[in-house]
Amino acid sequence: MNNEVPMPKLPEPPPLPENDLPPPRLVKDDFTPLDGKPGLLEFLEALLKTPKSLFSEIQAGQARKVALSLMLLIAVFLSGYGIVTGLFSGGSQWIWAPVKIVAMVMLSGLICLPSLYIFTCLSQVEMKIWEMIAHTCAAICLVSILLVGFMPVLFIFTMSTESLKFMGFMHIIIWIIAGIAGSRFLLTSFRYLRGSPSGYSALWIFIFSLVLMQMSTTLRPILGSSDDVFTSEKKFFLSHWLQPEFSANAESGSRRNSYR
Amino acid sequence: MSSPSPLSKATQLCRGRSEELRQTLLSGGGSFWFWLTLIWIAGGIYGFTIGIGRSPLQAGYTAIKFPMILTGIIYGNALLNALIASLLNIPLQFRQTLQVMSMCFALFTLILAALSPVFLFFTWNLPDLSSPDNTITYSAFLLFHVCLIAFAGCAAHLRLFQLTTHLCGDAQRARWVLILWLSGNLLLGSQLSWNLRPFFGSPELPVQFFRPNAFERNFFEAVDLHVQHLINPNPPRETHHEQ
Repeated sequence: MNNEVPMPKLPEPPPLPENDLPPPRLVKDDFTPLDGKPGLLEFLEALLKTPKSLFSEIQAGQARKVALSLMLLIAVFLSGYGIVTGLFSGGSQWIWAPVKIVAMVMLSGLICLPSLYIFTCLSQVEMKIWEMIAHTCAAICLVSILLVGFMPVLFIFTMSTESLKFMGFMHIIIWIIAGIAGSRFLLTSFRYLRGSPSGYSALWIFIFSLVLMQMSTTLRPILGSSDDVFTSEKKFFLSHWLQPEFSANAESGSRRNSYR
Repeated sequence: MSSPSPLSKATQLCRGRSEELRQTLLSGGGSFWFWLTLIWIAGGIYGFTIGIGRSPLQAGYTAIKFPMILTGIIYGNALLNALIASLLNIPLQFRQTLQVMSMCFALFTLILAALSPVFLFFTWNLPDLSSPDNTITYSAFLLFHVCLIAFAGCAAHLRLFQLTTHLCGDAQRARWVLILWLSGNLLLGSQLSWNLRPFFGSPELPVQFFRPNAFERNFFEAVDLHVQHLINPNPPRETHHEQ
């Protein structure tokens, strides 16, 4: 005879409203670091499929290795994107456009590094410098992967159109889309580390975007071409982008001598 | 036990853990000189980036004058701030009030110094500011500076508020202390910045450490003149815009 008394089933607790749910926190035990000795491909796969494993790897003392690997990946992806960009003008831009795009991102990151450190501290996130660099590199790497994803579309348009204005606009839209994805990634990673979103990180992303836009103007021409590799004329990025000569040049369909 | 390194002390200030900052406050007078040195180094770096848009000499002058203003505010308002703290029952001695103020300004200058590479990069890319075609660019650049100075000030005072709340255990009193301290600092700071002008240096005026009329009028009279200049289409000569 079975003496076991069936336990009354407890009613399911009501689901917590979304706002009351505890914020996710990155604790070392939460996520498993990558197996074995991860290399470039493993980091890339983790970035796309399981970013939490990558965060865990960074927290597990591998921040410098992850950061340097991601920097290499960024350089490779942006070079690919730069080659397609350089196709528009041809000539020496095949070489200069990828070099300038990689330099644009790396130099902007370097200029904004001190403010990133201070803003991270203000956000009360416990992070070492290399951990912070690794998280930022992960976000920029995601941006560069997205830019590579747009390469076939850009290639088709580059082969089809002569309009510099249209291509410039298209590049800006693509960078904005990729930038939004990268920003979301960076904010999410800080949210995991801190437990709640921080306005300081958002402000840093805004400053980094401004520096990136100004850098694209400083290193011009990137999309168009000219007889000189760089131009000595100093210009604020907004006045450069909105200059009437550029529009006039673009409408005439000229790819040459357009400082873009 | 070894004392923390300057970098870890600065990091601690930025992270703003109230208990850690309270311990720093109680640790003694040595910290005050550390924060003051930090103000002079970080403030000097930021001052340099302000003045370099005009000339290297102006950059040198502003690198001295910017931390000079902050030090002037800390010392000039020391007695007033200590009295306010005492009246509102905040458990701070005179020396500790000085130290709290210097910590607040140290954080302010640290944030601005961290942004200095960004400012320098934009300054380097600015076109010739003496050209009338570039007045909008110049104004946008000044606005960018003002916005980031305001942001750094807000962030530093937020930390000050968190610390005073932790010290007195009452957010209401901490708020009052913050408002009164801030009002006193703004009053003295605005006048000191008027007396020690120029900082950016107008392109059409010579580079000088002090203007010859540095002690003529006060900040609020100058603001009044600027308002009248906006209303009156014929501006008097002495209402020159100077930053």
